[in-house]
Amino acid sequence: MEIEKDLEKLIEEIGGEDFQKKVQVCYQCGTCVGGCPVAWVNENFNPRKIMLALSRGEIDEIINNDLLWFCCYCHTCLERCPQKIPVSEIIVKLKNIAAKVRGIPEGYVNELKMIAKTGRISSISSATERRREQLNLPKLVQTSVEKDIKRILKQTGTNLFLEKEIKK
Amino acid sequence: MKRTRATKEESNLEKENKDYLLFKGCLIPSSLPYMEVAARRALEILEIKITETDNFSCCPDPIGIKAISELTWLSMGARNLCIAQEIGKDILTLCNGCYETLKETSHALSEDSELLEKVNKILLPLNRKYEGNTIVKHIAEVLYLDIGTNQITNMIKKPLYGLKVAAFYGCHLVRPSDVMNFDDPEEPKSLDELIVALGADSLPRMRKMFCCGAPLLGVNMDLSLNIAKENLDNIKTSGVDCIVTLCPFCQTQFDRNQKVVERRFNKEYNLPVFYYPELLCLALGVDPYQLGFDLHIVKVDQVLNKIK
Repeated sequence: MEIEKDLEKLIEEIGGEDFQKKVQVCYQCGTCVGGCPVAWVNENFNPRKIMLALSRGEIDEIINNDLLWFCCYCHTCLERCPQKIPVSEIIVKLKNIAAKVRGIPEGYVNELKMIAKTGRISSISSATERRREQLNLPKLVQTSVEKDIKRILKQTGTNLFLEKEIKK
Repeated sequence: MKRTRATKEESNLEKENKDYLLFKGCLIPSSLPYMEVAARRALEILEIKITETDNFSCCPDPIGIKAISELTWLSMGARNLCIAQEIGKDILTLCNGCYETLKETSHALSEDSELLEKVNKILLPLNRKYEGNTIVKHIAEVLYLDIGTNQITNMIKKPLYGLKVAAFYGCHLVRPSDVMNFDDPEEPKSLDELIVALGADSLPRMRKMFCCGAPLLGVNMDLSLNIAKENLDNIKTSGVDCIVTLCPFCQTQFDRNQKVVERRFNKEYNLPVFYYPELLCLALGVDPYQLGFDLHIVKVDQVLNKIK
């Protein structure tokens, strides 16, 4: 199995034209930018411009810009959009495409490695066990969830992100 | 913005359903065990029964894993929901991230039968099949709606009079609101009322519902710390004694990373950060020595002395 990199096929997977139609009602008011915590600290990140590019069908330009990964997924834009465009959810779908075509940020590669190995995003060290004991917390039993998780990663093709050096 | 939400009156009808399946998550049991201690003690004193299982995986993380593959995110979430379905209990989460992932997965798969079928195909080799409609609650929701602020006020032994608090809800407790459907996404009141129920004051501030910045720690440290600084500045200006969170990511961002922000921007905040159940335990009369306050990075002594 290979990672699907064909942009048209990837857009088809997430709903094709219907997906792009969702943003065609955007009238570029910038409410999404006004409420965006990332735009507040970095003026280069601009969800309004992402919606504009998407409505023009310029998906390759969006996914080739690393700024896409700066969305912190707080959903303020989704709540405030006067046209009820689910901006943050649309950005997630664009990230899914960017992941396949260009790879994922290194921090996410590490997170995925941990999930594939243990089924969880943080490991239990002996220091943790000691602290838990001091606090009278029950011992953490590590059941073998990772077998199930590895299967899910394989079935959804996400394991391929780990097999290849696919990172930025 | 009119939305239908569960009201206190409605929830009182369900008062008998006080037995939940605890979803501990990843970060709390491994890195922030003091949060788990407080949650367990508070639930025990308030007589909320919990059942436990070791079979849960990561929820998984609604930022990173969902950004990589929405289908992987849904499938791992559905696997966890299957476990709750087998045990036959509603889920109680301690973390906003777990809350959003599990509640949104349950919602998405209950609304979209094609998607449910697709996910169940992925779960087939695991011998699991998700049926839909698992109820997922955050501990704040259980405290606010199942127990209620009046009952909490009636049960406290050491009111936190004079303590000024900054309520930090965290995004995913309330957004996306059409899915979370718990409190208002712009002007929520549950945590403020839960704080007031303990005798403390919850003070207003600028950009109260701003993201904490933690989701960007793995992507861009500068951005993440700049967002944390914006929050810490607004919180400090509001004149509070401490911050109260409901999520281990917000907790990490303000407790552990407060020192990082202070060094980087040459600032001094000195704002202790509590997980709400910690304050609740103090008000319920739990001995502070049992709560592991020494594990906090920002020392909490000034607050403990104030409420003595």
